[in-house]
Amino acid sequence: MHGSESASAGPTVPKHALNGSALTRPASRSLPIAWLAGLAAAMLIVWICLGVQGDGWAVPNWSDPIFRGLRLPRVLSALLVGAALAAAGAALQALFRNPLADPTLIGTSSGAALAVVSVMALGLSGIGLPLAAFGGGLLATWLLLGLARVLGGGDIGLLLLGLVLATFSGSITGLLMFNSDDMALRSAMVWLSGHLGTVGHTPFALAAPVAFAGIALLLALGRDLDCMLLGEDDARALGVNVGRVRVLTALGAALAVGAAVSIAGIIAFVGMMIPNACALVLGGGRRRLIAVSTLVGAVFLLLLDTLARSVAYPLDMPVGLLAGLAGPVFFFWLLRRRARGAA
Amino acid sequence: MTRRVDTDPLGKATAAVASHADHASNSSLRPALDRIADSITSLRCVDLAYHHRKKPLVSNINVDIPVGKLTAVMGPNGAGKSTLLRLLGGLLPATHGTVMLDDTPLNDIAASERAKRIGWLSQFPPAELPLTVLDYVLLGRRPSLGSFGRAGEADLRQVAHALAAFDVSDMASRPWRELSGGERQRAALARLLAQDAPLWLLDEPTNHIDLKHQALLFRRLREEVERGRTVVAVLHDLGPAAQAADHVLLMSGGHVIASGPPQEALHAASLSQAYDWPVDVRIDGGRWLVDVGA
Repeated sequence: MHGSESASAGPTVPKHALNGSALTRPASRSLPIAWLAGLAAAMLIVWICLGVQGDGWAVPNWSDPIFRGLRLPRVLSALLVGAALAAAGAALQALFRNPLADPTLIGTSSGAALAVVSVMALGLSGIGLPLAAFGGGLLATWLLLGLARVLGGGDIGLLLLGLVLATFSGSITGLLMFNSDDMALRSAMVWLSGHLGTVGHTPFALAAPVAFAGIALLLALGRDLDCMLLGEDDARALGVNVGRVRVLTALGAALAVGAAVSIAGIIAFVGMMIPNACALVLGGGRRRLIAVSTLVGAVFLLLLDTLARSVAYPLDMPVGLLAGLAGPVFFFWLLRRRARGAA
Repeated sequence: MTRRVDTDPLGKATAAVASHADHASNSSLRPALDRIADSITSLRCVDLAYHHRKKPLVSNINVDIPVGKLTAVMGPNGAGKSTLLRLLGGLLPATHGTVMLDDTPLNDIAASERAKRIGWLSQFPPAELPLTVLDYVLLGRRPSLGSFGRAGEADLRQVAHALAAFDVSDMASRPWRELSGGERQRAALARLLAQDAPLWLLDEPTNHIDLKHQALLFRRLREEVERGRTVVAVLHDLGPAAQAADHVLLMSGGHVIASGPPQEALHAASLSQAYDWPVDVRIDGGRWLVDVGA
């Protein structure tokens, strides 16, 4: 019992209570070092992935136009998409109070994809795509939150509603594509399945600021999202404006996911896998989880995409398919952990 | 008036607080509990009502809740106790009337300010929470830290004290999911103490808690009241509640049917009316005995 010491302590923190165990905030002092080490490891992985080419590995050649024009934007896009999806997932899981929430599962991604396909069908491109993706993702998320409020059904109802919304917008997307001519259909199919091979510098440059804005917003909401996990009454009693946090989280997630979808289509499971994996080893609040998930998500998707473009060379697979293959295994594991009351 | 408690785990912390206060003031021989800063000055319900889908859950509530006292809200299931408590905390918008805190309508107090004045304990702590107990209790500092403030040493000290006060210090680094129901409830109480608001609203704080910790909880509540905190608690167990409370609000059918000190508000007639069941109470050697004829 540290009671007496801690209560009677003067201006300094009692050694007994703060030393080693209970009250050292995990890694709070070694945080900069951990971050530096993490960043260095991430940079190394990025550098290695930059050098991976069809027939092996070579030191990245910055003067090679193919390298600069194709591989560099692809690597950057993989990093951006992974970061955006993981950050959005980490925030949405807190908002929906469910670790299974994922931008794809709850319809944010499908809404964004539907908007992009619609805009493509109208013949627009450029900045219109990330904007449409953002708008579609936002609309889908807000629609979900609104419907859940009206229909009730609790946390499970919310996830099911999201699933319904995702499938519904997927059907409309399919309908739009069914009605378009074959060439457009094929390119839209490749884009939708989460392909990074065709991303140029321009789509990346358009999407990056949108994604960064979204991630920044989600990071800012970190502590309030922790409070949201306690339930509405408790969050409110801690001074959190619950309605505003809901709207802003949906906004941030839609910005991040919209940006990701506009360049890479739908990549499932990343938003669920990365934050949950990070949470296993990470203590502390949601803000830290979002930050670490952003970094890990970026590197993870880059590795996955590097695998996708080299494992069956010269076949260049959509990274979304690879993520989709890996996802269910992780999902089952997480569900089982939860069912056993361990997650 | 002040209890000296040296023998039990919960008492240690309090005794230490008291001796700390002594050391600071160096005035009294008897250990006095240090007063909390800025206690509330008044809490009043004026014509308070809340309707859900046109059905009144509580109505016509006109009560003064004594400050610096422990008020127990009692009554049968569905009497509107939790609704009243949520109205007092500003967690529900009143359909009619107002709650006046320090002579200011609750609605006119900004949410961030309110969180510094009112601490809230839910009936059910969440079952699942991806946080350690320490991180959870630290959230109690959110009202003073805001969205971005970093917990300093003073905050951590307050959290350490709160953890010790509810006997959960040794669980600080454990994940929430590993805690039992009673341990969660105690962690929730620790979060409330870390928040350090002068008004506490507790919805069935004895939920899931074992005998020892119930006794410790009531003792802690008495101590907090003596430090100047105002506590309003929904309590089910008639005997212990009457024992511990300074004031009672007896509710039935959405109304307060009796309000006053337990000896005045709780008698066979009012209780039998509230519970729609013959209830008899008597005080025997300072102990409340409840007879429900079962």
